[in-house]
Amino acid sequence: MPAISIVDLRKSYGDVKAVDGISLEIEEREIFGILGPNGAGKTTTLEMVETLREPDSGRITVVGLDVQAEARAVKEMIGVQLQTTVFFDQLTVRETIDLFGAFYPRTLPVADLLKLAELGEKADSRVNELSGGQQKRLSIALALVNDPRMVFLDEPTTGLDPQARRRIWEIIRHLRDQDKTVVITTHYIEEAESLCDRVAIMDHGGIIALGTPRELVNEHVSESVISFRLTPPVGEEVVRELHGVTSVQADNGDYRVTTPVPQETLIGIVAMAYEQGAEADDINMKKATLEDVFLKLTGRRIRS
Amino acid sequence: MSKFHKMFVYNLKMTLRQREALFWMFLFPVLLMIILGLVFGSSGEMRMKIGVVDLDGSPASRAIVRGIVKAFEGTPEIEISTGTEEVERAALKDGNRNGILIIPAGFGQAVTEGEKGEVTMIINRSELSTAQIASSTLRGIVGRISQGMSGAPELITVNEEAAQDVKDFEYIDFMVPGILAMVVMFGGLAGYSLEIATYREKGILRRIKVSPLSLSTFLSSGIASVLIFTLLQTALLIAVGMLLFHLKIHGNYFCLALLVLVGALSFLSLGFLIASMTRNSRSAGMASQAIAMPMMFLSGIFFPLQFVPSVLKVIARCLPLYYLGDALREVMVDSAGLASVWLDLAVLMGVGAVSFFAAVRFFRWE
Repeated sequence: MPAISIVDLRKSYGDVKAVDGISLEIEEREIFGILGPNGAGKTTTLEMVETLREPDSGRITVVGLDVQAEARAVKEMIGVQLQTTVFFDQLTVRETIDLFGAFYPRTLPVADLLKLAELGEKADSRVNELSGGQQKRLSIALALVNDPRMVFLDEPTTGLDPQARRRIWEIIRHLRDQDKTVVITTHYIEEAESLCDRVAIMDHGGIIALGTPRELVNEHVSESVISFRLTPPVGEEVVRELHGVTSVQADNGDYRVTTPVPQETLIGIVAMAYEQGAEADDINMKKATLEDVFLKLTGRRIRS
Repeated sequence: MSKFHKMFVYNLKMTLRQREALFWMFLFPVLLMIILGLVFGSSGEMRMKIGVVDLDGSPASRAIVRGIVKAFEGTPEIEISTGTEEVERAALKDGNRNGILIIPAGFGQAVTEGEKGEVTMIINRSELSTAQIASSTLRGIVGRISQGMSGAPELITVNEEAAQDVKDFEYIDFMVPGILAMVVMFGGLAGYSLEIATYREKGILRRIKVSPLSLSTFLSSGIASVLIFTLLQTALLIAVGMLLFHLKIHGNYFCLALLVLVGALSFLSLGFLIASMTRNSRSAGMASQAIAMPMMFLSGIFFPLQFVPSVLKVIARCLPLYYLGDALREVMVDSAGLASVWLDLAVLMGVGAVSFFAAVRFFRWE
């Protein structure tokens, strides 16, 4: 049985189809990412799964429980971090965790959650004294207060610097190691690629691609891009002859080639430069990413 | 229950940690009371007002009355007035006399026949500090007269009669119920509506919605905390009133507490309704002020309505605060029981119930 099953889910606001017929299965013990630009319908989808919004049509089950018919049982089993972090300003970190624990019949010890969210030193600070990263970690701790089987994190790292982001990724990986199913939404390519086991790419309320990051890249964008500089320049046709090269752009010694076999092409470039007596530098190999997948599928970038 | 209890305790904690809110809850009403009490309160001077009633009309009794009036002409602390029995008794009842001396019919005849004359004195005992003085002053007066007449102090017997239902009414007694009503209204109307609207705006209500906790548990723990603070505010105001202005509460404290709670629940419902009808915390704050401020001035909680134009009297009777102020005053000053303030209670509960159901109807999570 899948952890979460979504069948033909729809939700409109007036004329806007926020979620337009999504079907999806999320397995247990995976980190599942919903990637897409703002307004793609990620949060609306997540909030319908979390029982926070009523779908217009479609069916969602969480470990077999219908989220509308058995909302209370579902609520007890899931942990939720909403997109905006919400706390009571007058309470400390420890008190906040203790208070949110009172919402649930079964809770983890406050000390365990403080440790997991790496907030032990800040336990007795007021919540409004926390940094952005600490606040996000606290809201993850609150999502885990009932030791949920399923954790939903809506943009868990938005607005954080790379270091703070990586700390949160570590926490999320740790959750998977504890046999929890984690669903996140994100518009960060890097987050989806390095953190998620599987990714659904959403645009305009629909899923336009689904799979592991590697599968998606291999399936939709077969080629990588290598750019380099040669002094003195060589003829464009020499570059075109290199192994694997499918296209060449040359501009007064600056070259940009595409290739499905980037490693072999790279060796060819270095060898050719040596033979031609040219000096090769500024060599840059850019592997295809989910951004390229999105670009290929929609003609737009995720973050514009 | 443990959920409710924990949330209730945290609600109390959160309120206690808001310095500014504490100022408005506790210090501001006390300061307001002190200022109003000092500006409009009793002048504070000790002045004895004693009424003399001559029911006999004999030469002897008239001589006594003249003698008394003359005796105190030079002492401004003691004011002697003469009048009919009804007038003087009414004045005593309204707290305008500290005591009255009644010379009964037949007094003159008894004295001229060498028998003992009897006079009656009635002391206003509601003002304990002056009652003692009034009593001894009157006895002194009588003693002097009787000595002047015969040289023997035993000639006149003094019968003392306890005054019934004496009202010792001062501005402070009028004002404190008004301030209590104001505090109850602001706590419910302004404080609570702002709290709910802020919770909604910050997304705390959504966070509650996504947890198994019911909204009613969440809201009721907050309400319980508001009620506790309202009772504390009431107690503090009464204590300060007693200490500084000799405030007297004639009614039952349980009735008073019950009225405060009913009033608070009524205004909490109204605050809840405001929160449900407004878009964000800013507009909720402005809406509640726009309702609370005029209500405070128009419902006659600070000044008796008998001095205002009749249009304003009608307006006042349309405002729930009027009924809370009225009920509190009835209990505190006239020692009324709950039965005699049934109309006030009914209006408050009605307003509370209607606004509660409307608030639930219009409630929004986000």
